[in-house]
Amino acid sequence: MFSGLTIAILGSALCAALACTGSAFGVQTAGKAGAGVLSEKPELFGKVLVLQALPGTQGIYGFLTAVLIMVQIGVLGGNPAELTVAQGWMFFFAALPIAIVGLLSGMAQGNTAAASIHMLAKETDSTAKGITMTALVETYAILALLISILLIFGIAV
Amino acid sequence: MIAAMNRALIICMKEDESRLIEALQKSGIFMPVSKHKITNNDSSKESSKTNFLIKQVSSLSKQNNFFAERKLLSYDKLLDKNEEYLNLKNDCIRTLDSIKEKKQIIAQHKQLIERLYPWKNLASNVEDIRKNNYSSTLTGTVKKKNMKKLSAKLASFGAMYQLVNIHNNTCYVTVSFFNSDQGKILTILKDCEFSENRPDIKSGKVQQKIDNISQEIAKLEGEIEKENSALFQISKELDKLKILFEQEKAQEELNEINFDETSSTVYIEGWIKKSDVKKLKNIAEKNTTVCELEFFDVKQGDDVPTVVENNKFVSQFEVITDMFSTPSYAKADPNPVMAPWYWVIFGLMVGDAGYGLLMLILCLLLTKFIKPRSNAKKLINTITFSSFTTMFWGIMFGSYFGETFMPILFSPLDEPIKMLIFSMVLGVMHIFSGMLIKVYEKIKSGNVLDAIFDEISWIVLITGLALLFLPQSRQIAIYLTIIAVAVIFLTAGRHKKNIFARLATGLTSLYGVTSYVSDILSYSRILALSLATAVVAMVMNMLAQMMSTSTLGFVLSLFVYIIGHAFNLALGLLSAYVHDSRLQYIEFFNKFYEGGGKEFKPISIKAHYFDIKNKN
Repeated sequence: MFSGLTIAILGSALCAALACTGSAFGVQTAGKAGAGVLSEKPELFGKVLVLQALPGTQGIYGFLTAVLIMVQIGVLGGNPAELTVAQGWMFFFAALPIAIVGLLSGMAQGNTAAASIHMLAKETDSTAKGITMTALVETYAILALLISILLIFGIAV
Repeated sequence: MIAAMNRALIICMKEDESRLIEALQKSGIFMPVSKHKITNNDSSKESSKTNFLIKQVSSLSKQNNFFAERKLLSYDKLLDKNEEYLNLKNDCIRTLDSIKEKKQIIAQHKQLIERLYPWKNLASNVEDIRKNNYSSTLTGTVKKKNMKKLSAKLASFGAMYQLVNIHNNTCYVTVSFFNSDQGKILTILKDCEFSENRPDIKSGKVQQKIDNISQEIAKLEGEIEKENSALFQISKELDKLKILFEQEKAQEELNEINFDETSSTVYIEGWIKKSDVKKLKNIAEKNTTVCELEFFDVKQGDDVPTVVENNKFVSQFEVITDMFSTPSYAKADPNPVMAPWYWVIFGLMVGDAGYGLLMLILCLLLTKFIKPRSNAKKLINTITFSSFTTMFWGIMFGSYFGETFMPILFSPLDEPIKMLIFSMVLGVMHIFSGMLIKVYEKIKSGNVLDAIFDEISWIVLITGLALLFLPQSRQIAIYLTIIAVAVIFLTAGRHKKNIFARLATGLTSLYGVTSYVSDILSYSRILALSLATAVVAMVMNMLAQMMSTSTLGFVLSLFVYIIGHAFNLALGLLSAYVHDSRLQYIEFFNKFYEGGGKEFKPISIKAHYFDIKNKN
């Protein structure tokens, strides 16, 4: 059976991997839309870039959570703690909200960003509306991040 | 504050119309009521053509345009319609068109040469490749692997072939044979996959033709060189083209307006600020022989444009509201309340003293060197102002480039729950200030009871619910909550006829507490963002520290510091801008703001390439 430390590290690895994957796919979708728009209207590059960067935050959140777990279990400080299996599983489950939501909302936000970029092509003044609509999706990633953080800080090591 | 507007009516003689309109355009105070707006297709406008020329020519002059200062131009010089400018533009168009044409011809020639190239060694004239009385000659291509078979078979018939060229595994050959053998030869050719291919010229030798065309190309390229240097000369006078552009643009703006007219007079109607009435009178008197002026206050139902006037601090944040929707004339201006909140929340979301300092330096440098205008300038100014709150909260939370050091309040990294409660309390105050604006609007329009039943009851309810969490105030909290619930339950349906419908509406509107809860929870993103920035900064520091064991590592770790913190700052700024704006648009504006106003766009000289001095 795995030790508690291994399971906790698995949780940390998973939330970083899944959330970053979600962001990668999201930014890719937005990037493809952006490339299409820029081929016709190259002067919109700055605005398109801002919209493309928006789905990238889920990766940061996953990264953050992974680091927080590593700090709590002492791996980052070079002094790994002796975790019981139960504690290991606690950290694993604490990482799940941002892992799952980071993956799915990253891809969802990418689709919204792509749609906003398409809107920008026709209405060049609508950047702010596009940014707001894309940012609405991020609310749920933030809620998931908060739960992960609160759970992590709540586990007694 | 929303400026008071007046509707202005001017009747003047037709002869004075253009002088008056130009004077109005110079003053930039008058927005005409356009009844019939002719919107032209952008690309057909003269100014767009001139703009295109400017872009083409300036790319030739190789000036570094990004940091180039916008030149100062006097108003008179801008309006000086010089023949020279138009001639310059036409020269430019002619030269560019001629260059384009020549380039096309060169491209065609080059394609021809490519097709002829394999045949360049063909010794005979092209017109000789034909059927004669007794023999015929063909030219074509054969794959290299079939060459041996072809030569053997042709030899057995006494036919001749000549290998002209080998290129890319393809042999270019001429085949000559007696007409009597035609059928069999053709069968052999087909068998060896011979494909007939004539060089694409009418007569003469191929090499000769290639030489001729190459000479043509050289000549055309020489002409293009000369025309490019002519363009380079034009690029030195680029300013003249730019002035022509501004003139054409100003004229087109005037052309888009249609005024009502009789046979000898013109009827001009529009909007001006009340404070500009005197100015308009002066302009009308100076520029017309005789005119009739009338001013009206705003009536109910008028489609009034909105002018927002605020002090220097608040006016920078107007750009945030404008991106959402222009304020409506009849309602209150949200900016004086939104601006301080945006300012404070932005600082919280970035929340690092070191980053605040970097923001300040960066924005001051940007303002100095790029000299942004209008909306970009306002946005950069909001970030400049927010750098102060960022530094303030950074010091409060003890965050300096990711290092936690002597926090005055507490450190969000160490006590995230405290930060969460802090964010939510801040959120409650933000929402209350939005609701209080609505209360103010309702009281101003005389609906005091509405304000009490709809807004103040909820404020009391939320306060009561919040105070329930503190043990000291539990008693008061219970009273407040009960009173508020009673008021809402009894009055939410006061417009309904039936007593049962009233109570039912009261019950369902109590359910609205969930929307308030979700709004308040939304402010937890302040915690999330400040944590995100802090943790990434901390990680960058840790990474750099781990690398700085040797001297090479120390140098590398400096790179990690700089690039890591720059990346974190950029990401933090983007996130703070997006989420702070989103909080204003959705949680704050939701409580009172409708927007839907029309922006005040007076006819004015808006110079794109220049800064106008003394507009007076």
